[in-house]
Amino acid sequence: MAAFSDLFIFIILLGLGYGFGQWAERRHYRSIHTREKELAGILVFAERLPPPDPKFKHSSLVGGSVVISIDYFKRFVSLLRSFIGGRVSSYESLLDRARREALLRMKADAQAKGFQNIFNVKFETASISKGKGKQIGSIEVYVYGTALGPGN
Amino acid sequence: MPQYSNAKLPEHINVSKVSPLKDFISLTGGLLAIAFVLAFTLAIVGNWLAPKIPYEWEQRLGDVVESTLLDDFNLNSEHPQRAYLQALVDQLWKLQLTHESSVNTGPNTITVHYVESDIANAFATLGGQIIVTSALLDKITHETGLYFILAHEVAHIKYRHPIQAIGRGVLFSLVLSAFTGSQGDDLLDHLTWNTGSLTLLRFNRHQEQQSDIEALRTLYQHYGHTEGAFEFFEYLVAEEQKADQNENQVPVFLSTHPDTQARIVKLKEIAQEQRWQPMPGKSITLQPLPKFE
Amino acid sequence: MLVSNLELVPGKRTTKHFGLVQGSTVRAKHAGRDLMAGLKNIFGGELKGYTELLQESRQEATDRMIQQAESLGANAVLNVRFSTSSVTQGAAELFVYGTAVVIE
Repeated sequence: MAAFSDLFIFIILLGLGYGFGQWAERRHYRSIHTREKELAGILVFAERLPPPDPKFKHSSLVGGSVVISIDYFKRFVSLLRSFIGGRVSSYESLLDRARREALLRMKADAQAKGFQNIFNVKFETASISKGKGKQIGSIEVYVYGTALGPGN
Repeated sequence: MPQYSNAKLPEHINVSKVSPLKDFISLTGGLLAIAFVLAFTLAIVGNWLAPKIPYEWEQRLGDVVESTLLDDFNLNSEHPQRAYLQALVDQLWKLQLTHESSVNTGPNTITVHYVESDIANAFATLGGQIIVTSALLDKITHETGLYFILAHEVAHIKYRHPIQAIGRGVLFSLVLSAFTGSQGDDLLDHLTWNTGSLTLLRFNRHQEQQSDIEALRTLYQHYGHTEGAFEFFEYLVAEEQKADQNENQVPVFLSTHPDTQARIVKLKEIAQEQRWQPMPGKSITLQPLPKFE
Repeated sequence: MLVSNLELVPGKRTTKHFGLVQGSTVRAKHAGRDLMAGLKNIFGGELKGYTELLQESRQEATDRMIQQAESLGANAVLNVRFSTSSVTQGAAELFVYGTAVVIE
């Protein structure tokens, strides 16, 4: 029966999506937490104008980006949610993870270049692939700013 | 010189602490319940509305059905079988109209079509038409068996079941497409559609039972007993058992018709309750079907 | 070439303003990467191929902007902004713009 095998595949995909998705999310958050501690020394600010500090002699544009995909299970939940309305909590953690990951990569970039302060930080978010029914599949977050410091 | 620093921010301000599994269960349950209640309500509304549709409208639809049947099956009205079936149906129709219940808003006469086919089947459709396949006549040996099947189909027409079924279906798909039209997602459509369709099938099974009982009553009126009524059902049970060994059976909730075995048992119970049985000591002889050239 | 998204570079003086310079590139993902992305769409997680692809494309856009600035004789691009938009299914435009200036 074709209908039954379709249902079977669907349930397998849901299960896989849930299992791997939750596992990957927990692992990612753990990694985010440890790296956030490591890179706590790199300061980020959204101010347009940096303070007139004489040690800010050099500047460089730094950035970090990540493309991250939602899993099948959460996508299905968000689909159901879009039918009823309300807060789509399954996408919240996706965006949160992506922004924090991109921020960490920007900080790592600045650290590698020998900077400690990043000013005028801007976020840029784009949906990369859209599935059937205009569902957002994966998003890219790019974050950039100007690193200032004595330089290397 | 102002102080510049980055403090650690608390978690879960931007991310709500909702277990996705819990979210999933409540959403799926809610949607299924909505689809179920929607289909159920619409089916009742459809059932109530359908008999109010003027019969002329149904007749027009029936003409369309007839012309497609003519194309598909190459109907031939010259068969002697057709004339025989038509005579039986005319008799049945008169008999059933004398019964209490629903005021007849249906057709004046019922047309029987005889179709050459390997599948034993009979069904009633829009515009007071009954289609009987040649295989059905081959499988049935006695007049009572055939009489029951025809009485069942005539009862469908009497209760205007074909237009009810279509009314329910049309109403449900209309409302559903209005709901999901803006979403336009295959998966969601499937989910709600299937739940709704399964709900609608309950009503189909109910119609079958209603017609079965009416057919049984007619049979008793005509013959004074109900022996041999289930000849075709018994043949179906045998076929199903044969098929069982090969592949899985369709569960009842996925089917338009009640489980055949359960159907026979239920009908025998009803016949007993209603005392639709022969006088004690009276011998029954079943009349075989006439031979056709 | 100094590229910065600040409006003023601390400790430097802007002597010449050349106006807007832009860099842009449109890139499509290829089938191999799409296949991996399809899998990742079930399991979730980072699409490394896409991250790299977009990073390369953004670098290319930046290089094009710098090329424009150089042709004007500038030595810095200030107030730089990035923008991404999906043009069609499976293709994205990476766009970067800023002001070309000479600083001392």
